[in-house]
Amino acid sequence: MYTRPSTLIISSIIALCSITGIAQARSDSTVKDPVLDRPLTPISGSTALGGYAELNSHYRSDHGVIEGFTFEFRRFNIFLYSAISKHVRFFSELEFEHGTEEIALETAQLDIEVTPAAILRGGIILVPLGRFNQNHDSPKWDFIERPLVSTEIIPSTFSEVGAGIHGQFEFGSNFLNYEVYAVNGLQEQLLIGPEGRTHLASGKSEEFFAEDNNGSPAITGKLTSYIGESIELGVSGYVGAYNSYLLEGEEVQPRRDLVIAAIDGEFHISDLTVQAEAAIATIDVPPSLTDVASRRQQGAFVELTHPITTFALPLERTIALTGGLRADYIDLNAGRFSTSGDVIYDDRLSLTVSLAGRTSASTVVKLNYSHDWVRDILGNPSQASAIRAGVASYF
Amino acid sequence: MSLRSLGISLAALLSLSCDALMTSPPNPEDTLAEPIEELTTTQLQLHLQGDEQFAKVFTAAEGLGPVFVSTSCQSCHVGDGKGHALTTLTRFGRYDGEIWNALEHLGGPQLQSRALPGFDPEVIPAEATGVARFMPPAVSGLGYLEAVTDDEILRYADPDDRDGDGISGRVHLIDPPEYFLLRPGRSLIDGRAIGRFGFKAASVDLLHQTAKAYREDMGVTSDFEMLDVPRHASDLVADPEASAAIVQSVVFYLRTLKTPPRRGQTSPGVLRGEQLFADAGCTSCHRPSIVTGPSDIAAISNREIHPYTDVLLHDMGPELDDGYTEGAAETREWRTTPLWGIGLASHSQGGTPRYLHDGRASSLREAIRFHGGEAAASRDRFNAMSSHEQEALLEFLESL
Repeated sequence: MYTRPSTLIISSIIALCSITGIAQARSDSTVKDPVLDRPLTPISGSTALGGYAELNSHYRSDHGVIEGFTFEFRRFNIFLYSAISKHVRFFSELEFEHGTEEIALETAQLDIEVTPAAILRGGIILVPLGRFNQNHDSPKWDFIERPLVSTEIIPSTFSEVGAGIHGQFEFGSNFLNYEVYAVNGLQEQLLIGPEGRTHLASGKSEEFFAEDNNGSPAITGKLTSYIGESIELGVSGYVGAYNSYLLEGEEVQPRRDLVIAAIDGEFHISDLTVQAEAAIATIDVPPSLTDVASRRQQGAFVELTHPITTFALPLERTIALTGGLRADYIDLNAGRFSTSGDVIYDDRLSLTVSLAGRTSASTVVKLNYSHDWVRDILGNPSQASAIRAGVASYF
Repeated sequence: MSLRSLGISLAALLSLSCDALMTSPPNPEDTLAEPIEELTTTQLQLHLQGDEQFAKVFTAAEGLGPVFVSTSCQSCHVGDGKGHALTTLTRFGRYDGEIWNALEHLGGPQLQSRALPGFDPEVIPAEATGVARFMPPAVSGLGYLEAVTDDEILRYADPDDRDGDGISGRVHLIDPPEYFLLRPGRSLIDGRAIGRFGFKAASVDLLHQTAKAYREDMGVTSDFEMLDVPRHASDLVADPEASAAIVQSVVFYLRTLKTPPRRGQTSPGVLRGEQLFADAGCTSCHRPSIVTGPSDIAAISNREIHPYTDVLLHDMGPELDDGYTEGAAETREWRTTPLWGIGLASHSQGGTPRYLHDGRASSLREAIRFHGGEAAASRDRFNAMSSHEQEALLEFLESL
């Protein structure tokens, strides 16, 4: 008997809710939550403000064509937080990308804490997929570009309107966090995006902050384990219908699902920090788009950072330098052509080295060099490289 | 190391090695996607604008479909080179008596094999008696071919084989679309124009070919071709989905692509192969030199070019008879395919070359073997050559 993945996840929600009744929940309400792990400045009563800005410069070469030097004011994000009462919190993030080219309400969520193990959350939420999406603030990262898997497979910043529950369990010095939400989900524009291939980010639509396209919520969730101070492991997923298969209540085409599964982690080995994320997306593609649209996309990144040294600055300040290396790989159309049986390529491997300087936890100056090896859908190769410098800072 | 010395070192390193760290451009001898060198700055700017439009991917919101084959010009003509199986077109029709019927009321002549969600892709109707598959050709150098005068093409035509060489090429006369402009060197013959683009020479100029491609390949209507493929309900995007300016921009891009580069043309093997190519009679159709006429683009005006085509229809025999045709061409007739750039075919096909109109040949040797009809004698001369001679001839073809 076939059981829909969403049914399994809903069953898991019920099971988790049951556990909250029998497990020993934390009582101090300091639930680890990457969405709320932002520096904020109180402005009035229980309300606090914050945000970050990001300025970059690029010198790029794509297949030998040097595009020259350019500045980019990539993001200006504003946080608003309010502890409405002891157990009710509101957080929002408003993003201005490239000035006012794109303005998006990335987060606007209300948390009602029943216990630390059961916090109800609703609104525009950051989908708990992988590691990066909920940890996407530029000042947190030593690399200017976001990981490929975190933008192409998990379409960060991936926000959805929905509701669900999250919480934390304590097991001695270890913690287990969970999140499960029902959200409106991505739409069928993901099948063919602006680059002529399946592009999950093209399935995002702010129209869906008002109404779902098919009346069938997607389910997303994550389990994160914190093992001591040095290990964090996450398993996450998303499943839901993406196409408008219902029109005026009539089923006008077969329901088609998108499933994304991800694992992620952060490890600390002495001063070395390792962050990694891998994701696989399976798309139920209509036969009319076979080979053009991807049935499977997958990718991963591994990032190593290590402190190098600390320099003294005037006025008794210091700057801590960190070196880093990131390896990225994405396969945007995994499988073989249905017509010829030949391998479909359409993949990209990227290596980036970084040098980052921090005068405080809030501000980072970055210098990156990346080299990409690209194969188009047929395997025709090309390469790209870039030198990037930038600064990102919370305020 | 102090911070100052680190900063100075980094700055020096970057200033010295910025370009060294960047990827190198491909060897011009190995690439097709480059503009003609002699373009004026204005023309180069227009060319680059056209390049952007050539690469533009259409989405459903921008008019793609509802039925289509591909999403952009570039996805068929990767790197301006020869296409591949993924975007190979299927075309169909039938003979009603002696009249070719393109079965437009059934979605013909081209099968739109893909469809947006909620729409059904086309299937070949039972009424079709002829079906052919067309692998997209390379597009570099097309501006030069467009600039060849009608008189130059007619000079090589010999429909009745009066010279008795067994080659009887003829022009394909086409009813031109309303938007066809008579440029210098072009004329109408009994109200029809000489077709010169497409495997059956069924398009009279690059605008004709491009506007048809927008409509039939991508399902994108334009000021030139206003209606979606008629068998299907249109999408809800207002027509035209591509303006005349966009289509003309792509046409300008095509007109100003350089001719395919030669490689190793002075090597002894290539020179020997070139002679053998002529000795076998291949140059009767694959003409090495042809002259362009006057053009509004000085760089392509009155130039001798080496496309290895005569732009004429030839009977290629039963070996290449798919039972499909266009216009007044017979099903066995094909326009002589330009051979320039053939040595770079695999560069846009993932390293695995496919030859002939539908990619049925996986090597040049195999492609030659498929030549029949008027080309049968040349094929037989090739088969009679020693293996060294054959290799030299193939080396010459690879140099094109």
